Amino acid sequence: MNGIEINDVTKTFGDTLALNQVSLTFEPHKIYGLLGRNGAGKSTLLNIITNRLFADSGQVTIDGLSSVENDMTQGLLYLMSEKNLYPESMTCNEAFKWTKQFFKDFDLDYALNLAKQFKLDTKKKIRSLSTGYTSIFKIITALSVNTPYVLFDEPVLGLDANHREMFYRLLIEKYSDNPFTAIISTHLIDEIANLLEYVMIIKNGEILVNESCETLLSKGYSVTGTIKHVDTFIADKEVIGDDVLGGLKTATIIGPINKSTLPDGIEITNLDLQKLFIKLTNEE
Amino acid sequence: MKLNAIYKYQLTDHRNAVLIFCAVILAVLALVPMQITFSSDVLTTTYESTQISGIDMAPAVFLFICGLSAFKESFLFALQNGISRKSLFVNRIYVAVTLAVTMALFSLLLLALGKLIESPSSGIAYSSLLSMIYQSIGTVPFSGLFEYLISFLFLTVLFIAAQALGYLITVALYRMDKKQKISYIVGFYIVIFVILPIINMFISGQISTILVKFLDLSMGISAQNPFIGMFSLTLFSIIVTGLTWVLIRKAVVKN
Repeated sequence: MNGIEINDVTKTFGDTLALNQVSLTFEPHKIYGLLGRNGAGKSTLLNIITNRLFADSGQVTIDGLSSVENDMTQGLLYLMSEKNLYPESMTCNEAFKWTKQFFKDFDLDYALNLAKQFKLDTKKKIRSLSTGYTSIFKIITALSVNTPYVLFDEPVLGLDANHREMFYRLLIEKYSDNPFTAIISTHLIDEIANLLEYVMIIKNGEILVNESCETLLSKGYSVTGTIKHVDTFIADKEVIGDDVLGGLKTATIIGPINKSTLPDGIEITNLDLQKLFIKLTNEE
Repeated sequence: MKLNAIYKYQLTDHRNAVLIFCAVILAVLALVPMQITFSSDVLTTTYESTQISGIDMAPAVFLFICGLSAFKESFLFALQNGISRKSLFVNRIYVAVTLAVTMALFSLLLLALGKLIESPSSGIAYSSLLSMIYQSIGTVPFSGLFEYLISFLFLTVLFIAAQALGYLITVALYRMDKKQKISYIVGFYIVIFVILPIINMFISGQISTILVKFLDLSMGISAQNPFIGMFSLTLFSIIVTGLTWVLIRKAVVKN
């Protein structure tokens, strides 16, 4: 297996350059976070991989074969997209049954079980579902489809905290039972930071970061302590963000940790991925 | 498996509409003898015939509308399920042929029922679309098994053409943005219903004469040859289907 390989993909919409010579690889059996600000090109990239859009130039291969107009390679992928592509007059039950017809490994029992857990009324038509439940319906389908590559574009749109938590738990359970490649595009970085093995950050159609989450997070750290202690400690360091709550201050720092110079009263924690993302994608 | 599924899906999409349509047409056909039977004037109007003609044109209109409504949902659903445009398109042709054959058979049933209820005593006269257009093939008049066979072939080809046209229109409209859609629709009506009639008027009806001649020639009406008509409709379907493929192959999911 070669995974999903993207080579020099460029896509424009009129005068807007959505993707600029993007090259990257999604390896099998890994969980990727595809992060970027609104309009960065995340959805465009996912739509090109899944043959919903055509790249102006460049190539996308799945396990070594072209993804363009190829039923075989497209059968290895499932994209849970923000946009609903299911007929709105279809009920969830019908959608599950049809999905089973298209994807032979779709686990109908598992889907119905998840629907019960999420309290999704599968007799309802898709058009009558709320935004949250439309996402839930799509999440259930994506988790039950059992393709080697599952792409999630804003999977938790409209979901309450409980349902989001449930989704993350189910994703990890599914991945542990039967590893697959999950590519998650989301804005809720804090929530998925612990799930991700690799992080890809897109900015203005270009790949800014393409690293393992561990490597990325080892590039900095956060310190917490009293305002005075923290201010003294961070004076000569590259600070990418800080928060003050009561008398306590937390600062996020880029650079290596020198524990020998660490004063008393300062606590060190891992780098905050969201803070790093904000720093990296800030236009200023 | 997947290709079979997209064929089944597209066919299922039309199932209810086809069943309702057939039920309505049968009900209409059943109403005619019932109306005559229960009419109090039946005795006085016995020999004033009730003409049922061209009822098999209704499936052509119905299938044109089926073609018009067949693209967007299926296209998006196909992409969601990893089906390529090519497979969707090829299977759409299979579906169109299946529907055309089904409706042609249904039209033959109507023809048989029409013949059954047709008699001078009942005052009902039934004529099929084919017999209305051609009356005969050369010197061979339409009747019996021959009429059924030619009707089946002619209607199948006609129904495929009707669907192909509807499908082309809907795919073309899908590919257009809002401004283009409005321009094309308004432009079409202005050209067909305003500009052409005016020009036609100024050139002493030459356009309509040419159109009528073209229709006559391409359908083999004067020649009394439905095979010319079948050939022209097949050619029309191939051209329209080819144009549709040109539009579908680059169709994308719109925001």
